[in-house]
Amino acid sequence: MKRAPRIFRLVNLRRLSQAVCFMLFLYLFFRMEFPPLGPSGEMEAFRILAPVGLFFYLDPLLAVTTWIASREFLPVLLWSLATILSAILLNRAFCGWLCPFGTLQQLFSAGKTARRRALRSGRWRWSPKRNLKYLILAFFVAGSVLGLQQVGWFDPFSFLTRSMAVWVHPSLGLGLDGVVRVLDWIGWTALADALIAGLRGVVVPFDSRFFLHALLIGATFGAVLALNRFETRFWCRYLCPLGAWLGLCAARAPLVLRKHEDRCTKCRLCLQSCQGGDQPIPGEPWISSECHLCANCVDTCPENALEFAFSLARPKAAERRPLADLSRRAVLGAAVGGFVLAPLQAIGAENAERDRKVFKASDKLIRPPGARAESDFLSRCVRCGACMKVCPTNALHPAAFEGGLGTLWTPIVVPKIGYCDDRCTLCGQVCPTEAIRETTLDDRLGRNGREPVRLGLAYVDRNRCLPWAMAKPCIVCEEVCPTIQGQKAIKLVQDRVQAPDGRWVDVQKPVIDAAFCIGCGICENKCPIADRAAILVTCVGESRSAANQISLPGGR
Amino acid sequence: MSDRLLTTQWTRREVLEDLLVPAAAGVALAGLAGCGGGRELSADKRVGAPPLDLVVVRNGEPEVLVRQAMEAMGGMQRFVARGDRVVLKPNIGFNRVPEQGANTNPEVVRALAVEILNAGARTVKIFDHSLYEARHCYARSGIAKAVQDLGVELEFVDERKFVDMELGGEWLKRWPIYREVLEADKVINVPIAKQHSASRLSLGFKNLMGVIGGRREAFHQNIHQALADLGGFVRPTLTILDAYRILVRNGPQGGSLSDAVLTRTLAAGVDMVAVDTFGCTLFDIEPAQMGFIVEASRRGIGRMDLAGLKTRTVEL
Repeated sequence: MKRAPRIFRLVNLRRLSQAVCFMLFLYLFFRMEFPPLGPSGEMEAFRILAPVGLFFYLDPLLAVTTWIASREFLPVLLWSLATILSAILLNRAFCGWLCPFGTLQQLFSAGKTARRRALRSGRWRWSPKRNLKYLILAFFVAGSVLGLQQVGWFDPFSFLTRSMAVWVHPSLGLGLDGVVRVLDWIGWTALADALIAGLRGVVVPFDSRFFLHALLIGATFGAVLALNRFETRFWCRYLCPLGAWLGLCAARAPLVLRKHEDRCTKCRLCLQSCQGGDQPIPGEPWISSECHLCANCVDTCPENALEFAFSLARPKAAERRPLADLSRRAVLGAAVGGFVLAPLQAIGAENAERDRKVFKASDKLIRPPGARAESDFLSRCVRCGACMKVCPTNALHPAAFEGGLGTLWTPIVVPKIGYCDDRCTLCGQVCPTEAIRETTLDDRLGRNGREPVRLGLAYVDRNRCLPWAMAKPCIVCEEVCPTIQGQKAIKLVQDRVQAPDGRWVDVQKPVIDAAFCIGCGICENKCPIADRAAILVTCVGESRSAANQISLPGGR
Repeated sequence: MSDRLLTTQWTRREVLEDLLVPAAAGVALAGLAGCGGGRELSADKRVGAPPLDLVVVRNGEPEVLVRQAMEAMGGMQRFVARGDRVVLKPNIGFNRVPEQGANTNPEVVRALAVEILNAGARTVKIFDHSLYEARHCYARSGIAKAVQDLGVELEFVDERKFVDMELGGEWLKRWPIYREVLEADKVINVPIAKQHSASRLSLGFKNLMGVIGGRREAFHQNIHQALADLGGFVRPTLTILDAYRILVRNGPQGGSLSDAVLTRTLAAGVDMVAVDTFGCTLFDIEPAQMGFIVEASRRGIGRMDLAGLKTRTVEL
């Protein structure tokens, strides 16, 4: 049989597709950034025009859990029907050909030792342990029925984007810093200047940045990649709930692997290179829901004993077994687990909002501008970290358990590290599920009849504030306080106070006028008391909550 | 920030020798001697004294104000020599549009950049160590757009480029200064006039806080000394006070259109103290109440006796 020209061989087309998709993913990731000033320099520079949410829109797992959890239909997620369709027709080709996280797993699985290991340890063979991913899927879908959107912990695009944003991207910045330091040291300063000018805000952070919990998120990412050295595409085989979902859709796919047992010499080359571990070797049943259509088996077989073909005939169990050993009992058990654990995940703000009880969440739960009410927010946020990537001031960080288990890796503003710029709307532009709604300048500033978006409220710690506590002049918080609806929230009152040495001095003391405070946190960020600012922002008074207020409506 | 740059103590002499000798060679040191103290940075190498100490132009559009002011000052070529590397330092500190009067007017910046280029400057660098997020500031201020086609270098501040310098100030002994300022042949300071609750007004001296690094927020505990120390070190060749719009309340960033007043004025001078003293009159503030002006005048950085200065006011 004549082989197709090299370039048109299925594996090479697949590699091309993977390369294109991976580059596209990287491009879109790096475009989650303040847009370049551009040749026009127009005001549209404040809008990100690249479709940075593309991979999220193609993700049926996020679509369905978001729809279910939020009880609202978000039309843009309909794009994911294309992925479902691809699975119904072409099996899990999405995993093998498109998914950038899958490509990354494959890169980390590569190598001779990995191929040998596949044979020696018998990991080429199907194992019921791989059904774990179906249980993970059932767990999170069950959670979404109860209004929780926790799938972001395991969704591949959320996982990858979050890890990139919180760990990889800042690391790239540190890497460039190191290179530049060496260049400076050997005197190539002009090159160093040019590198920084050309790369910052493009592929490295514009300013040095770091994230809370980066260690944990980075270590999880590293562990997932390292598992590939234990077994090829470990993530895809055992953990990925999206892969499980697509495997379910592909149970009756007409694309089949046709095996010619008569030609097979049992050399087992197909098993060495198989990505999904789906038993391509003739003589064993093909586990079709595990196949990523990587086509390595077809390509490596020296006897041409394997080929892909379309067939609507009902396969015999000995030839093809989709969803092997997936017992109903186990799936039901996982779903019940999801139901049982859901209330635990919801401890914190979630219940408080729904029950109209007193707000019990942490005062640190300051959400980005445009974030929905907490329960609504948690039913949509997929923990992807896109908002953290795009935030130009490094204000947004992954939360830990500030609001219970349910807030893990959701975005919070940490004013001490970065403040929320009063005229920035970037986080709402990149949120794939509108957990953060896009705001306009009118929304943010309370112009043209709008109420300003408030993230919280500042208060002065009079025991630490220089004029209040030490009779020293300082007005920095007032200086930086943005003017909202014509006034600053921080006002200065004149006072004559006695300094520690007994002298009487005139000072200007900052006081808060709550009506004009949007909780942006720039006061806390710029306060010269560096370790714990003398002015702090907490989330009370935030626009999105009816309960988390000081006064009754209108009485701010 | 680069450790090497920060941990190495650079004296002014070292900077002069390492960085500025080629530039310094051709330019008259007479300018230095004429400015008192000789402590200042050699950015102040002007070509002969201008015929006037202070020029004020009123009732014009930004570009016209700049052109008229420079004409009255004897032309930009008086200050910028062919082949000079020039730093033009506007205020681009805030994420605000020009109408809000927080940043230097973009058309003023553009007109000045054109004047400098026409005088034969080799490079023109424009930057500010913004207080708000820099990219927002550069875009929203309109300055990025205004200068994009001129062939000037609009640069975002690179933290590595802050070099610890001996300021020789009375309060600030040592402070990180932006390398571009140290290496430039000429520094042209183009502040906007604004209200400020620590220094009362933000004018030429205050604008220089955009060429320094370090913990700037600590300045406010002794702002007048700090500004005099800074202004005594970084002596701009020329200070152009943009008062096309002035911010009278809620400074230094404002945000309300009603806080900015259209005054359609511009002042220019070699003496930054004189220019700032004039700036006070726009706000009906007695210069003698302005700590940094009094302090700078006392130190001989410049003169605050407007009556004794050769001033020309151009009414358009």
